[in-house]
Amino acid sequence: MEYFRRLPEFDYLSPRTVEEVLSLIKTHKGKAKLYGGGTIVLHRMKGRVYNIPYLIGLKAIDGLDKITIDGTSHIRIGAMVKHGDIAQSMDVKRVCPLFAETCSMLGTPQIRNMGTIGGNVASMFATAETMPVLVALGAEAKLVSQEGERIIPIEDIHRNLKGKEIITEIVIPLPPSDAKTGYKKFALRERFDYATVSAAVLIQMDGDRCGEIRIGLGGVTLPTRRPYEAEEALKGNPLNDEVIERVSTLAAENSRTGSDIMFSADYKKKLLKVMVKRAILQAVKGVA
Amino acid sequence: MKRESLIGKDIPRIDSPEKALGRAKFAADIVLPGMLYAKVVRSPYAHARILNIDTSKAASLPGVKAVVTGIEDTPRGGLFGIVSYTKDQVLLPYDKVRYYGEEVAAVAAIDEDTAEEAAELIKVDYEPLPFVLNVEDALKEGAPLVHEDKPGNIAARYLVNEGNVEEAFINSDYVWEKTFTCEVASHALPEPYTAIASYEPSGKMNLWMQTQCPFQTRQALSNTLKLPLSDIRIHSIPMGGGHGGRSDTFPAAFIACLLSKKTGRPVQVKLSREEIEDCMRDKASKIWHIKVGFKKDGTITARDIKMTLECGAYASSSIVELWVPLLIDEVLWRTESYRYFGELVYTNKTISSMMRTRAHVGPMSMEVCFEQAGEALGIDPVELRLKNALQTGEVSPTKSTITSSGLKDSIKIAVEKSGYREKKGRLGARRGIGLGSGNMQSMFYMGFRSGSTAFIKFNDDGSCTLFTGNCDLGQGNQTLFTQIVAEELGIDMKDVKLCYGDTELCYQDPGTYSMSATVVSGSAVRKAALDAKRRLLEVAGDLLDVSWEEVEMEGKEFSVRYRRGKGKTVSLKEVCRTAFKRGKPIFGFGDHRARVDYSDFNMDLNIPYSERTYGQKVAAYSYGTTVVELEVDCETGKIKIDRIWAVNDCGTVINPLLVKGNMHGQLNFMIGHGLYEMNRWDIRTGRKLTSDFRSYKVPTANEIPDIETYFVGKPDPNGPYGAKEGSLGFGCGLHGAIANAIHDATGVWLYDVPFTPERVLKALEERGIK
Repeated sequence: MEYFRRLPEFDYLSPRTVEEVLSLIKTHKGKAKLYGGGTIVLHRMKGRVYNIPYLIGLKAIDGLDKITIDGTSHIRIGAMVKHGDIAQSMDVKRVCPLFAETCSMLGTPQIRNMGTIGGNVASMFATAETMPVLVALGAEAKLVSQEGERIIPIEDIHRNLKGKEIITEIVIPLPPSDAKTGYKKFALRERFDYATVSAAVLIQMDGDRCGEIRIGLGGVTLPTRRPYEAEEALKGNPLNDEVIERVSTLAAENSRTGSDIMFSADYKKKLLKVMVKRAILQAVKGVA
Repeated sequence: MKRESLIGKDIPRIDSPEKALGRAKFAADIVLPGMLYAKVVRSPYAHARILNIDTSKAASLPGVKAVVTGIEDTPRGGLFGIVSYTKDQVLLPYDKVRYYGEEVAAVAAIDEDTAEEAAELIKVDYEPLPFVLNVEDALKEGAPLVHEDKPGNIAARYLVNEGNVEEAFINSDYVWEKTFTCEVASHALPEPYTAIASYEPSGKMNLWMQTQCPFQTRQALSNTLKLPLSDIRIHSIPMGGGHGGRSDTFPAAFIACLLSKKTGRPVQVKLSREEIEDCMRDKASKIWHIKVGFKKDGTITARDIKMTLECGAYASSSIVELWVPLLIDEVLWRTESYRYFGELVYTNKTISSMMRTRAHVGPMSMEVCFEQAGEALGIDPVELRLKNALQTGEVSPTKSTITSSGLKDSIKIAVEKSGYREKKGRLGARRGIGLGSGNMQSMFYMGFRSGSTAFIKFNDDGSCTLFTGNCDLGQGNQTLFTQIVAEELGIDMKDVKLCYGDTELCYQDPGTYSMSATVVSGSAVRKAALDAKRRLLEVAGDLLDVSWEEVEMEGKEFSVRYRRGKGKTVSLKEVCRTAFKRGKPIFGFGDHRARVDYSDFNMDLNIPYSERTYGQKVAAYSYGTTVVELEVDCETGKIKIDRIWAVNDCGTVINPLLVKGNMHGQLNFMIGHGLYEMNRWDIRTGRKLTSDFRSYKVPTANEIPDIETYFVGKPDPNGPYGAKEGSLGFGCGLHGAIANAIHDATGVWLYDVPFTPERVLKALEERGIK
């Protein structure tokens, strides 16, 4: 019954190591969910979307809640790091201000203080707000299973993450010093709402032309989260209004959006084009 | 030293500290000894016949104390509806369900978890029926009937036809015609609905629950439970909002009573957010078709309005929404010929009730009309408004006299303060300014409930307690009443204690309903204070050996007037104690009936509207004007309101701080309904999709602009100290102001509320604006 909102009875398992987590996943296959910050899983249990007797808590595992700078090459963010901690981390603000800002704009203070990056990435929500920026930054996820570890590009996570695996870490390459970044989201209410659509870009100029570029989209179906054609269309071209218009049109056209309670799929595509355009403009011109 | 009058002073609310600190106790905080917890089983169909309910498994679950179903437990013959011809709801139905989420059974158990488990064990067999989810479908020939005895899904109709509208249009130089709509919106009350019933062996049913009108609720529970009126007692309790959404009597309270009577123990029914949004009340959707005739010089010759109003599964208090747009529209702009036809239509959706600022599509339509007609006639739209604005002393088409109107002044002040004339058309790209006026009733006709009675008793220490049937939903009525008593008796506000809304201890009151609190309840409170004062003066006169007329009361002390310092003084405490010694304690009694003499709303279309229905329908009218400055993002359609100037004619302003707070609240509410809030339904199942605060978009602080407030009113003869309703009327034209500002910014017109980004973008694209 969808009107019941009490948490059903469940056992909370509190493993101390990643190995223990993996073994519990195997033991309670189909009967357990991972518990990071709980912002998604508890809601679904209350609504009886999940009817499971076990929650496997990840809070007692050492090291999953750390942010570390790996020399000059990478920033490593443990899966259990909360959005609010990323937003406030001096390290992240210094080396990757775009990501800190994204996390500071997500949800509400309560969500930011509970929700984890691992949970946001693993949610597979089209609206997961850390994803567009992580895609643009070229982030990777470290997946661990009993068979071993693997690293996969973040935009491919939906094709790769298996039930027996957990995300332990998000690895972001430090953006080159000359990289330009932009992030725009559209939400009916500035805060609190999920972004209806969003776009993030990272651009490296090659003289007066666009060199390396990565674009991440939010609010679109998972396989269309990275608009490769649009990226290709931008490479080697000057960043003038005409090119930006063409590229943002391409990005929107090649992505797939669905209608939601508030907005039609068609309108969301229009919004997406505007967000891509504005994110590029923000990156190249510093237009807020 | 003579104390400065409290009237017109900024006085902080007396209940603010305990609410701000989280100390106030609400209904859900109450735990009674032996209390049971109930859960309601709800329909998974928008429309279905109830065939059978099997409660055996639930009843045998350990910890379950009682199960109730409509078939077994609902007393037959008691229907809920707020007027005689709209009594259509069985509060726990036994034949069919008419919307998704309607109550079909309930269980009481020792804790919430057991109650939920038991509720899941109740098996209901349904025969699903075809359903209708919008007015258009409901009015089609052969549409499924929500109520078999209501042909065409028509709940009620209402017609006013004054003068000769058709002839007036023929003789008009310019005729303007448009259709406006607004979506179903929610009250979005922050406090979860909770009802606790405790049945005593003596037959007494005690209730702690949220209600805007305890006396109506007591009556409705008596009718539906088949219990004597005097056996039902509603206790007062702080409330977290109302907005009209707690005007009705809800199944949850009825079910709590049934379960308590069955178990002999107190029972709590507490609803989740989803239950509140799906199964309590909404605001009706509205289609508002309007035709207006003008002479060359801008004089309005005729107005013809046809309104279709959606009430959802039951007529409830949305029947009031059928009349009230008339009460608002007819007293804003003068017209010779006037026709107003309203139709209330059933659909298989959440029940709609009354809601504050219920008539905003009406005032909005006229604001857009003035702009468009002004252009067509070559007359400045502000002048057009001023020319047609009704003024003090004028009479409405249905013969209500306007005892005070600050409408014209409010327009002038709003125009001046906002720099409207300098800004209009000159704000640059994508920015615009717009103006809109509104009004609201202070107390409409409610039969024998049109009056309020207040009572004051003095304690032996010189403090007093005020008893009023009026509740405080958050407007600050408690502060207002306390302020009035302190003002009249010259004592400190902290020496005035309050007992409110308790049906056993207080006299009848219209309820916090129809904006009656200040004008009716406030007047009764003032009269009670004056009555008590007279008694105090009489005793003091005896003690001072002068007649009571010669006694002066000041700061808890009585002295002989004009001879201060010569004669002795007596204290308030001494007077109170003397009165007790004499066996005649000090009390005060005050009653106020509103100046509403007739309002027999004609529901039978076979009987033409006639002089029979003429009369004063409303005691006093508040007026006001808002000006909005905003920016349109022409690529996304998103609107950002930057600033609002709000001018309020609420007569005498008794407590400006309080009224300003209410004005901010009203504008927040109107911004929500104007730009963000609307409900959506799953067309396959009939279930509401916007049942939580993530999908139902109540604006946050980020969406609220800078607000400037001004007062412009003159004292009205009806209210205490000349006060009128102060929270709603001034802001009722905000949607018109927004529509006009969007036009000023972009050149496009919008007629459908809310102005969501998608709708705005569509309108811009149609005009080729980027």
